[in-house]
Amino acid sequence: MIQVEQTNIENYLSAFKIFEQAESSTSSNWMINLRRNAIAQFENSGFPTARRGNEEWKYTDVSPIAKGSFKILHNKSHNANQLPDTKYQQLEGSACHNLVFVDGFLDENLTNISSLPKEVLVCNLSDAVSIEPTFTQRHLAKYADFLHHPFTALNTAFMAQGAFIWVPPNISIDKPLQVLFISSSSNSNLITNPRILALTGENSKFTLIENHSAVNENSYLANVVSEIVLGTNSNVQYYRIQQESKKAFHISTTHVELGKGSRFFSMNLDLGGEIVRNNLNVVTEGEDSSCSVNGIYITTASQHIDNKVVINHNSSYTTSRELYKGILSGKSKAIFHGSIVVREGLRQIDALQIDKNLLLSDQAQANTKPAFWIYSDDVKCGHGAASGQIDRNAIFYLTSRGISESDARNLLVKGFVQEVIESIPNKFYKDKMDNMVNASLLDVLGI
Amino acid sequence: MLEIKNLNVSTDNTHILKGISLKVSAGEIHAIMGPNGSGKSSLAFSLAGKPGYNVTSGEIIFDKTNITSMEPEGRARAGIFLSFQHPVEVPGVRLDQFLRASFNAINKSREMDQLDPLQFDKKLKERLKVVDMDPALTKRFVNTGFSGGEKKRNEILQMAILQPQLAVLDEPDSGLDVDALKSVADAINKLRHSSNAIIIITHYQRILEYVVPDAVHILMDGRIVKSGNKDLAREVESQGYEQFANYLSNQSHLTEKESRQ
Amino acid sequence: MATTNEDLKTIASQQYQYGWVTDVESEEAPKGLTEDTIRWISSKKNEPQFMLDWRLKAFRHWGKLVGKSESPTWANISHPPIDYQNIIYYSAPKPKKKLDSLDEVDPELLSAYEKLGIPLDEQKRLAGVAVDAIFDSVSIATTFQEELSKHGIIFCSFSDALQNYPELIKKYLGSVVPYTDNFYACLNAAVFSDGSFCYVPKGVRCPLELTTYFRINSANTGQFERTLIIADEGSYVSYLEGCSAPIRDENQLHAAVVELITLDNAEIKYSTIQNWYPGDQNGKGGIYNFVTKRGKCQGKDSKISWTQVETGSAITWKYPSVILLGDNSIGEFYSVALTKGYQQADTGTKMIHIGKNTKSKIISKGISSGHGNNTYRGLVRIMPKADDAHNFTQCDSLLIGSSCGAHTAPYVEVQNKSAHLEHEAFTSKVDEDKLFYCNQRGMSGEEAQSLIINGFCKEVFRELPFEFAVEATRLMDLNLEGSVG
Repeated sequence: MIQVEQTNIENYLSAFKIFEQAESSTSSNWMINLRRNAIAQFENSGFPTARRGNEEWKYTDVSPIAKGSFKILHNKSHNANQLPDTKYQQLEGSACHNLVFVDGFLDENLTNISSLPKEVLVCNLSDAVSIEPTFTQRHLAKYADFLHHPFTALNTAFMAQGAFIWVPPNISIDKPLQVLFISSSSNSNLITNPRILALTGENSKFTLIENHSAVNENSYLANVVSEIVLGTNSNVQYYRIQQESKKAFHISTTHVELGKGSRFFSMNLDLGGEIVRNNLNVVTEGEDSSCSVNGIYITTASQHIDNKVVINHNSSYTTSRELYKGILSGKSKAIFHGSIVVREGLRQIDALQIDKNLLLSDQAQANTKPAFWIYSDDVKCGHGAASGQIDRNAIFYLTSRGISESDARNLLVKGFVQEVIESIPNKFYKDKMDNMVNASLLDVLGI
Repeated sequence: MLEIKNLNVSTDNTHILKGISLKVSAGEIHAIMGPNGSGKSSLAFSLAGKPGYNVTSGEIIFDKTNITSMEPEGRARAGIFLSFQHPVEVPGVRLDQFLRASFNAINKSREMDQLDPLQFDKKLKERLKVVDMDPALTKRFVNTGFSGGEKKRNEILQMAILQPQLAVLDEPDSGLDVDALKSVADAINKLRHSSNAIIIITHYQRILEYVVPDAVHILMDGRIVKSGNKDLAREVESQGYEQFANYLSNQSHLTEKESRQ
Repeated sequence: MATTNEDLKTIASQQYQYGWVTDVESEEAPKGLTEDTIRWISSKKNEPQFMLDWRLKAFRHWGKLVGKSESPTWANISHPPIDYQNIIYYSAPKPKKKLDSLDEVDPELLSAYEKLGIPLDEQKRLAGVAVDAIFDSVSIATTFQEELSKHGIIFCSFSDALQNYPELIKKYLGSVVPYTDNFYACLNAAVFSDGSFCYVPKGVRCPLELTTYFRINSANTGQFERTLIIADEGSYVSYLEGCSAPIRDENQLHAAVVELITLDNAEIKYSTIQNWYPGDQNGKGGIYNFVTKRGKCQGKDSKISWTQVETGSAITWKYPSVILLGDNSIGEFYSVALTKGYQQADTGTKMIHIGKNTKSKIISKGISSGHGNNTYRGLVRIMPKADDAHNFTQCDSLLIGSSCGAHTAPYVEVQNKSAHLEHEAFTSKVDEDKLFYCNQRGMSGEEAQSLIINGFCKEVFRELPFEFAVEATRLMDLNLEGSVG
């Protein structure tokens, strides 16, 4: 078995040589070095194992990924016309500024960012390297740590195309910017390494939607890294919608740095994927910054969805709120680890973390690991977790009011996640999320 | 008994009390009235010595002693009692144990006898009657899960047990319905006598219908803008606080002038 | 000065009170650990063959673990590697002659226990409390044995039990904590020297509190005791252990194992007041307290309740757990852990729900001060067949001072949809408003602090037998006594 893993690592190493060759004409030296550094890290660590004592991957066994032989596309091979219109419509292309990547490559036909304010720079990451070389070099791969995280290292080694976003000071973007990553290939076993680097200037404001979607129900690996850096007093809303194929593997890391006085809101919706692991790391770098991170996961069949959220309180007077809820059915398994870390010597830290699961089937499994690591005394930190099934008394109460039992059930399941949806500050997205959750519940549970 | 001389207090770098002067003698009841944010609670906390309330100038003389920089427990032992507007919950500590700890700490400092639980229980029962409070509450944790009315009554119970020379009651009436208000007022009246003094801090005059003050002071923006007898409270009731706003502007005008000279 | 958190930050720990050494002549095993050491211990105790075989199996397994350097590393603690060959695994006060009664116990030893507040002689005994006194590796006296035997209750040293009730030991030893369980439990299985044994027969409610008092005296020794308590159908027993050790510069290892078994309708209440030497102000010396405690609710409607007050030891690593096998069984864990100086505690519990309608409750209160680090680590696992399982967990932490740490790492694993779990945790400093409220009522900073902290611990203290609750309160006050300016 160890041999199999090594051979697969070898595959990535040889793919890297071809990739490097293909990218050589467009890459600057620092980029080449960065990628080489990352592949060396990956070669050294290999994929993480669920071996005893590896707390980071305790509940998620990624050996199906480690054993799989995923191929990297070295050139654009898809035909955009293959994307069914309905799919694109479904992604609400018209309500947003759209940056669309199909199988890892920018699709210029589907992309529409022409109505963005002219001060804003949104482009393909590979172009940013030439348009804003110093700026890009200063920030790219400086936040998401690839030295200790093999999947981030793998992404960094193979990063080429992706979204580069710069919202300058005092600019506020009206419509959300949607970055769509679509898997369209009819070939199985592709790996894509989508990447986002988003930076905001002082007093700016924008909404980012990161949407992962698939045309075919194939098996593939999406290995995503997003870096979001908030400047002083800026405000970012971040919606992450994961609706990959039910056979796909999806591993993501979103690293968020909060500048002084900045506000960050996130909403992570997990609907697809066979094995999914989302790492969300938020660091409060500046004083008076705050974040509200939220998530809903709806799992069914043999899905395995693992959300790890780490809030690093690194500055005084910072606040964090976390609210994640899951609805589990079939033989699915959901994991939530939330860590709140408060560095030494800080003042007035206020952190609250809640995770709740609703189990709808006998074989579904929920694991929760909410942790605090606190090294300052001026803190107020709380966490709550709960798991259970639909309250029989509540069903009785509703049926006693003449509602049918199945309707009562549906109402209560929907009501369970409603609290998270209600936390969404903007009515438009609230309704949108509401619709997506409803559609998913209908799909999964027939409700 | 109490003399406040030109007291200036800051908290969080905000100047909140701006030259308060007040004299209270034994046997008197003074009411301090003012709108929200006028500094009423700050005055109460300053008298009790709450950390964070920094006296920048002026003096507080209590019983011929300057207590301006005395620690809170020292003031409590000297006979100053503060009934909190928002009494604090102390989970895990039973009210009767808390009261005995408090009573004994004060007695000890005065070299008086300390009471064992049985002796104290007797005293407690007798005082509960005075304030008409449910004895079952004394077996619960201090203020934990108490209703607003129960918390207020508990503060008066503590006053009844500790028998302070000076009681500062910070909004003892807020959150009480009319029956509860009457009963709290009744308890306060039972506890007043010729050798103690009471300062009632309130936004509304309704408690003053039941506990009749000897003097009423209007506090606005950290200053006493007008003093008078109980009729002044009625004036507030009928005409509101806005009428005093010009006193305030006149006065601040004065102080400015004074400071220029 | 008024009391503020600033004052609380200058907590000077009370001098450890139990730090003296008793001068007795000891008989010791040669330093180090080989199969010969184990044979030496076993023959010293004249053990039956099955016991020696079990020890040797454990030792061989441990050898493999050492070979793979598999001592646990996941806990939030740090210490230099332990040299297992530099420990004396057996040390016993040399008996002057064979003991026929307590009157013949070395008076030095009796006075040692008297100094600890545990009088062993007939006249001074604590009313209603039977004591087994363990000094280094052996039990030196067990009181009230006669009285207990009237009820058919066996309460004696583990060594005596091996001689007199080998079939009970054979049946239950390792049935809750097998020697393969973990590194330290395995080491204990190989080298354990003595401990307490208790069997409460069917339908008997033990009329006395049973107590074992552990004392480490000799230098360079490790203490490896093993306790086994069996509550037969419909019986009840309340058991308490206390511990202390002399002040020494080197760290000493204490790796104990406790196994509890309850049959149908039985209940065991197990309380610990752990006050091993915690090391000095600079973190020098102190006991490494690496303990495996586990109970098995084997019968239906049975109950096991752990209560612990952990104030001592340089490092505490222990997770008193309950396996809820019988339907309707109940597991409880109540804990107060205090770390000051450079103490480290990584402690909590595991509740494994296997039977139907099982319930567990976890209340953990951590207090960190000085440079102490305090971690709650707990697991609640609901297995697929555990229908209608309930768990409530509350783990709160209090921080005093800015150089300490308070950590919470609970694990919740649910494999049955009918489970109902609630988990709450809260971490904060001592509330300044509470302090001011107490000050305004005339209490000094120290009195106010003690009141608030004891209030914080109340839910745990009230689970202790009365005399020990008083002792626990006093211990907390002593440990947190500070200079409030």
